[in-house]
Amino acid sequence: MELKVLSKNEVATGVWEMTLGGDFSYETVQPGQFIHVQVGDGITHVLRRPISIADVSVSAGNLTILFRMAGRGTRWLSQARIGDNLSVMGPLGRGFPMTQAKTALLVGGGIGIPPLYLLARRLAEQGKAVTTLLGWASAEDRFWLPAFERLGHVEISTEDGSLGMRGTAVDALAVLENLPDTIYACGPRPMLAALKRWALRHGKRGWFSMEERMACGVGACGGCVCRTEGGMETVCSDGPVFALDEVML
Amino acid sequence: MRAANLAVQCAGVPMRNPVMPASGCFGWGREYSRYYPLRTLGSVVAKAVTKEARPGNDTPRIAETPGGMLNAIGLANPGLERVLADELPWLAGQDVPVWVNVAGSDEEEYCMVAAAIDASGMADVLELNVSCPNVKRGGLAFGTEPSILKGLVTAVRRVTDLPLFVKLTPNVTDAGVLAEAAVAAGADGLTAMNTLRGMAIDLDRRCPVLANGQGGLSGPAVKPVALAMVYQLARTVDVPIIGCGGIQSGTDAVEFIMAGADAVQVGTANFTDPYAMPRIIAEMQTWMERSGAASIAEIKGAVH
Repeated sequence: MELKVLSKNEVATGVWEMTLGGDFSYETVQPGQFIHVQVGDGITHVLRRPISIADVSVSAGNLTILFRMAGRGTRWLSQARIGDNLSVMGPLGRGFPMTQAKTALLVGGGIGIPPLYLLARRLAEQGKAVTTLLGWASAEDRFWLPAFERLGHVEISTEDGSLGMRGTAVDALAVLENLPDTIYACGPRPMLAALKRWALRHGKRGWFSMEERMACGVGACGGCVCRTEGGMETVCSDGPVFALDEVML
Repeated sequence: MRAANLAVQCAGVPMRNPVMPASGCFGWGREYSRYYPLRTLGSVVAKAVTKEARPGNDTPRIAETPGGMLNAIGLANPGLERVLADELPWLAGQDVPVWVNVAGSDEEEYCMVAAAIDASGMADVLELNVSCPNVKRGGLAFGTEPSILKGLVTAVRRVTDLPLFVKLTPNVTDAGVLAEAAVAAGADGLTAMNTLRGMAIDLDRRCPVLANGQGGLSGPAVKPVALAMVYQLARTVDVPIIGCGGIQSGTDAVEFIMAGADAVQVGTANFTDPYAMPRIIAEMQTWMERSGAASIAEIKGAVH
């Protein structure tokens, strides 16, 4: 299907926020799901780019993505103009399950942060207490911080210490006053590995969203697998969200 | 404008049109059945099946390159028993010919898998995978040495009466010699081609992008190589040839038919556009009607 670029905005150096509108199944979007976006004419770039859905408005009929310009494909996408149509597949993948628990801890690192926003919003709407640990390389890399702060308590860390505490998002676990019931996270693999060790030590359950180089996006090609207790599973269709005690990091 | 008939027969198997997916690019068919009914296609080609389940290679398994992509999946599949129980029964009920790609580490495994799939009655065609560049044992080894290929095809021919296609690799000095060996051993047809061996480097990490080091190159970048191979094989052997390599449009498919192919397989284009194959079929129909070609036979081998 085709979605129209309604707005675009560089929210930090090389990080783009884009709102897309048009015919799409907005009402079925689960936090953690993604869209698979064609870049270019489909000849120079044969692979779509999986980009997680950061926010969705069912009433306005639009969705928002945030992506980092990391290569030629995402550069092309960042140069799309307002009014341009993008070829989009989705929503794809299995998102974060909503919890019955009363308190949730969200941990995001860098460009892993976007899918946590829609999750935080849905959890807050259900009356859960949401604590979010956000980590960036440096203060100027931050985005959507006030939006997260409106939904609950936020702890920030940066690798260079220019904002919040020095370290990664998991280093902020040390300052938590109360342990949460459920954990949700998305970010670099070492961050997730450290968080998994912490969660298992404290007997906490939760969910991680995984990232992998992807081709088909529908579970057909077996390109984007991740190792779990159950064997190799596809990130695009069995995931991208996996139970933290099952995913092997 | 005359109505064009896209129907073809490949080794006796009637197909509504000459378009089918390339093995490994279409899962077990189910994944794409939410986009369109599979009977839209000429055939469905299932992933490679081995005797035991294979987890495949480590990730990254995928890298985009200009005009193409590298993959090193490593023949990941749930193994013969589960394919027969969980995947083929559904596919066999979709009112479309089913091709099953057969792989193995040795002759015995190929024969065992081929015989079991034949006996299940759920496949219409077997395609022997002797050209996967991404596994350590078997795969490519069987497709690069004419005497070994001849031995393998002879052995598999003994255990099945199904139409037997051999999917050849371009990673050889002369594909014609391999094609002749396969046909002499009883192959009913050939698929040309599997991926070209390739590599991509990650400068920051100073290592290959793919965990496997190397992978198979596919996509529009390889189309001229595949066309030349189909053209050569059409002059070398007298069996049906399935053209495969970088086909993205109806006119790409027509080029392969003109080079001598009886039908085509579409791989990477399915990833770019899940509706690629129905679109290619419609574009072929349009092209043929505009240029006054009533049938595939009328344009087959036109450039020779």
